[in-house]
Amino acid sequence: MTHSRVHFLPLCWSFFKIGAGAFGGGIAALPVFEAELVNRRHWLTPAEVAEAYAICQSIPGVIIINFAVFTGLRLTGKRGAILAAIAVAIPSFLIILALATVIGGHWHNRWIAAALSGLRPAVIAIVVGAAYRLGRRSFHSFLPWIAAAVGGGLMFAGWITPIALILIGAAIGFSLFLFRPKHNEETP
Amino acid sequence: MSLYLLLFWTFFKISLFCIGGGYNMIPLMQHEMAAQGWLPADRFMDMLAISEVTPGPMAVNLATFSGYQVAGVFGSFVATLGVCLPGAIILLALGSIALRLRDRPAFRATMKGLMPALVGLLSATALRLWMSNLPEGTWVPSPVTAVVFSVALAIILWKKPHPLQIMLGAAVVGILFSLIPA
Repeated sequence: MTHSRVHFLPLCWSFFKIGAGAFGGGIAALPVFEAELVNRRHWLTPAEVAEAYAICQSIPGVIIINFAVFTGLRLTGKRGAILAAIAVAIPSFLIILALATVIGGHWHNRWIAAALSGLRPAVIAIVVGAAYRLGRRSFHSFLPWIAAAVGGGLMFAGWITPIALILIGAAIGFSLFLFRPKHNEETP
Repeated sequence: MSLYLLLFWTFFKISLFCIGGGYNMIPLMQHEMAAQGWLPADRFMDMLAISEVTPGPMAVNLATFSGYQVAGVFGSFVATLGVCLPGAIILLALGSIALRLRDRPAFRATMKGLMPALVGLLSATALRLWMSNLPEGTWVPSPVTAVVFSVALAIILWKKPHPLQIMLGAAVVGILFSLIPA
């Protein structure tokens, strides 16, 4: 389906707003996409947003940037895709740049240091929660948990880089597919 | 290699190997920042905290912030460009092939194999951040760390709060703790 009626300016404005409104990124941004692209602009259906999101999640990179490129491509073409990606990145780029110049020299300011002393353990809890959620969602037996523990241990010990671990995981997944038992139900 | 080129390449590489977005990029970034000697784990954690409470995709926030810390305004630009490009190039090059990739059994199997690696990476990174947040010369966390970490984790596992709610609460608790006379 083509949407030649979509112009560059509203496209950029919409993605600029998405970039400014989506906190945390990833799955947390999905409602913001829907509010703007489905409810306000009627450019996409909720199903199309969900599908685009799933595709953007399965290729490398930043999901929101991928989403902007994918949607821009679909609505207007290559030029729109690039413009949408720039528009979605600009708010966070400018806000962070402004913050970095302000905070940069004040890491030891009393109030900033106090807030950060509470924020640091919260960040760690969020990362632990993300690991647990991902495992709960995608593991269906105890074997992957063991694999995760082994891989995490190797990485923590500094014996393996994250990229190497990712490549090994992908290679194991792919070889399990290549050498899967034929004419048989999938084994757990 | 010039610093800008190295920054660009580092963030391009991080993004290229990050599948699933969001938090999956944290271990890659933390590792590279420490390996290049650009940011120690505790300063990385501070930037992570700020990236969580400011609008916009977390990965872009982190790249902009790290780039600025390493090489100023132009550094933040090349780092952001580096983190955005891989996905954009792949989508523009693949076009409609990307649409069908997800339904391929081989692709799904590969993704399935990736999951334990990602969970392991996130856990290892959490442990590294935890270690870097311990007071010097002890294994006992500070009171504010113990309280915020356990309460935040309980809330995160119990329900699904928006990360922003957790972060705002944690900042308030941090400030309150600092007001207690030692």
